[in-house]
Amino acid sequence: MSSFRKVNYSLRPAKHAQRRMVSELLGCLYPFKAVRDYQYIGFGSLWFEDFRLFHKLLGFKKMVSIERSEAKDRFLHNKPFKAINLLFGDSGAKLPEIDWAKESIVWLDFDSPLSLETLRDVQLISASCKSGSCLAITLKVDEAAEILEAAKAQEEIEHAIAQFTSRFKDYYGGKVFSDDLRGNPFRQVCEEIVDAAVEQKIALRNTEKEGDDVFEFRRICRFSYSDATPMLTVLYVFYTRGDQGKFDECSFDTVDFLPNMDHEVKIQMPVMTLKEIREIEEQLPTDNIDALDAGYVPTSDVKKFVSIYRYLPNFSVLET
Amino acid sequence: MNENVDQISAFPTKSFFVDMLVRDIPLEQAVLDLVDNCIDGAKRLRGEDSNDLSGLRVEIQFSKEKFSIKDNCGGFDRQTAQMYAFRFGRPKGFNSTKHSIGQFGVGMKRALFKFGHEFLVQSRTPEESWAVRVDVPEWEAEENDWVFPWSEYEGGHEISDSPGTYIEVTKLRKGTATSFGTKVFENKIISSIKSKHRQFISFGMEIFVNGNRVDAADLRFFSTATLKPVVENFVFDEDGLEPVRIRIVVGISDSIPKSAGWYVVCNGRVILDADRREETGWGVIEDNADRPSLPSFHNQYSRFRGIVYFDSDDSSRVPWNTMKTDIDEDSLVWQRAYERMIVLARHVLDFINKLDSEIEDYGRDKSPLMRLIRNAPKSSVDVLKTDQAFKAPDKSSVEQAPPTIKIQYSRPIEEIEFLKSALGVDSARAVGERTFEIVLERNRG
Repeated sequence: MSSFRKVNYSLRPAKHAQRRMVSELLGCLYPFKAVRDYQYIGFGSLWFEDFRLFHKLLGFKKMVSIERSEAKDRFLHNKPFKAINLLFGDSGAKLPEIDWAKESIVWLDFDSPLSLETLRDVQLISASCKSGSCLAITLKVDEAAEILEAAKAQEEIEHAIAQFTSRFKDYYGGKVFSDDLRGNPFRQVCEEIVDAAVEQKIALRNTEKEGDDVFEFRRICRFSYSDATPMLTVLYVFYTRGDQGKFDECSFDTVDFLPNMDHEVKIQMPVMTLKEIREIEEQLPTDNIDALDAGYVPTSDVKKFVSIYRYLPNFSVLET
Repeated sequence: MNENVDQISAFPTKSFFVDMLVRDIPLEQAVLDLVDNCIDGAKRLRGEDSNDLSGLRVEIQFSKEKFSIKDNCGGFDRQTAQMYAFRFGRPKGFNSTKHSIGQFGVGMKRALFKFGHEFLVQSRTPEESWAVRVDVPEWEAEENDWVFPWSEYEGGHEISDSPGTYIEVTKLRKGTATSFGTKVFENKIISSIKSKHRQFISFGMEIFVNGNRVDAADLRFFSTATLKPVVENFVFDEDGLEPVRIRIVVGISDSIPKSAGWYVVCNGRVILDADRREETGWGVIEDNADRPSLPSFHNQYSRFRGIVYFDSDDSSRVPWNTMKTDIDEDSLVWQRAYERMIVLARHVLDFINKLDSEIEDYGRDKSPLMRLIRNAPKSSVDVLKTDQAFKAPDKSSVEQAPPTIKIQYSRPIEEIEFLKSALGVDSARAVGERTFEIVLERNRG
């Protein structure tokens, strides 16, 4: 089922913060091409949150939203800008229709766990995108789909492990243990699998290439966050060796939340009242968190807040 | 070469020969061929029927720049190098390892040429040591000189004090380097070795790929007093030829479609993995209707496992193709085994069909047969050696559940979602069952 049936997108603060952070990273792509001239491809759902934000902040003029729901009219009705072109169908069927000769930013914002279909999408983009393109992939990482399948079939965990192994053995070389399919270990397994899938396609792409034409890929960062379910987002940039200078010029690791490339950015929501938020915000930014007058807010929440306050939505109370 | 105008020279050029040799072999298969050579060394060292290969080790390393494989499996001497390892094809009368798996005399050369343009092979036995280093383009340029020169043995690559062999390939071909540089290729090699060399690993041989130890993929069958896989042993004898020992094991295991099907093992090397093609009897084709066969494979048969072992001291007698990637269908040994495979598989498929229809009738959680299978222990195929008939529980031997009828109906998704939430369940099926239970309870009062 599409996630729009499960949750209203606009009520997910961690997701919102992540979107703002991603937008800051995408802004770094300008050495390749004026960012507004990139094409953006995503899964807008009914809310088109990422499309709204990116159009306003980054100025994308060409945007494509892929939607597998059959309620076409409702999606067309909710489309916020003329610039968005809606493609109805599975991403696996619609991604090949995209013009990959243009610099692209693709966000495969899945709300499901890793599957062979999601990997195929990742590989299709890795094999097709132009130098300077960016791919973000989001996956649900609380537990492997195979665990749910086994539970439904009333099979033991060994069944889930065997099923997962038989599906992903080319991408994950290690032995899979039952605790690898849930929680943090599962997130790491997913990262490794997606990485191997990208690497394979890039290697294949490079078979006949030499010198400046050889393709490179870099994992820029990984986001982990949870609004209700733990999610993972991995961000890649693809470029040719000839464009290495442009890539270096992007300086992704100079944005506030990314101390170094491939850093894991954990977005954790602090528990604070609006009054507390206002009081701390008045003292920001600061280089010395310990010197903040945070009132009664526990230090751990203060640290979480300071690390992401610029990206949080503005809260206000409409009724009491 | 004699440029005689009265005749046409058909002498092959080396580059033509090398290109032909490497063309049709997948890279992955070429790596496995080199592992096969190590295993043959182990068999020479420990005896062809030995089940103890502990302490023997193979280490494979590859990257974009270089490939290497080393072992401590006893090495091979100069004479073997001269007569066999570096010859193209096996000279008549050459006594090779009994019960070997590297039987075609092309594996090593094919792999070396496939990988790159420069290689070093060196080996040490208790008595001697030797090395051959070849720059392939230079070697190809010497058109008339079909020899590989000896070079100086260089130490420093040994796994231990035990004798062994070291092979290194550099100046990799472009396509090869591309694959060797990826994690996916490394994983493919690991999973191929895991399945193809399963038996040798279970005998204690240790194989490492880029530092990762490869464990054996165990093949296991449900095995209890009332549910046993069939095991059948027989020998195929032809006058004057080495006999072939055949063992067929067929039974049921976990319901995993990708693992279901036939496994064919020749002299310990797995040739087919979970095969579900016509070649192993699945599906009837009209042209061939008189050939005994099984139904087409369907996920319903995802519990089916069949394993056929062929063993012979003369490795040319077991029914594999030259790449060890498929069976040789024309082989009489295969045809004989095939007939028995079909007969034995039918009993197992009948039981699976029965199980399936029972699940249809009772539901998965209430089926007595299903319950029996779910709790059944499994045995490794390695212990299933003695002849036994297939044994499956029939309905009378298991606890009978009351007869049931399946109810099926459709309702709008929105209403089902509403009830899922209201009843705290997570599937449409559970909504159906729970609502039935509620109405039943209320009406019974």
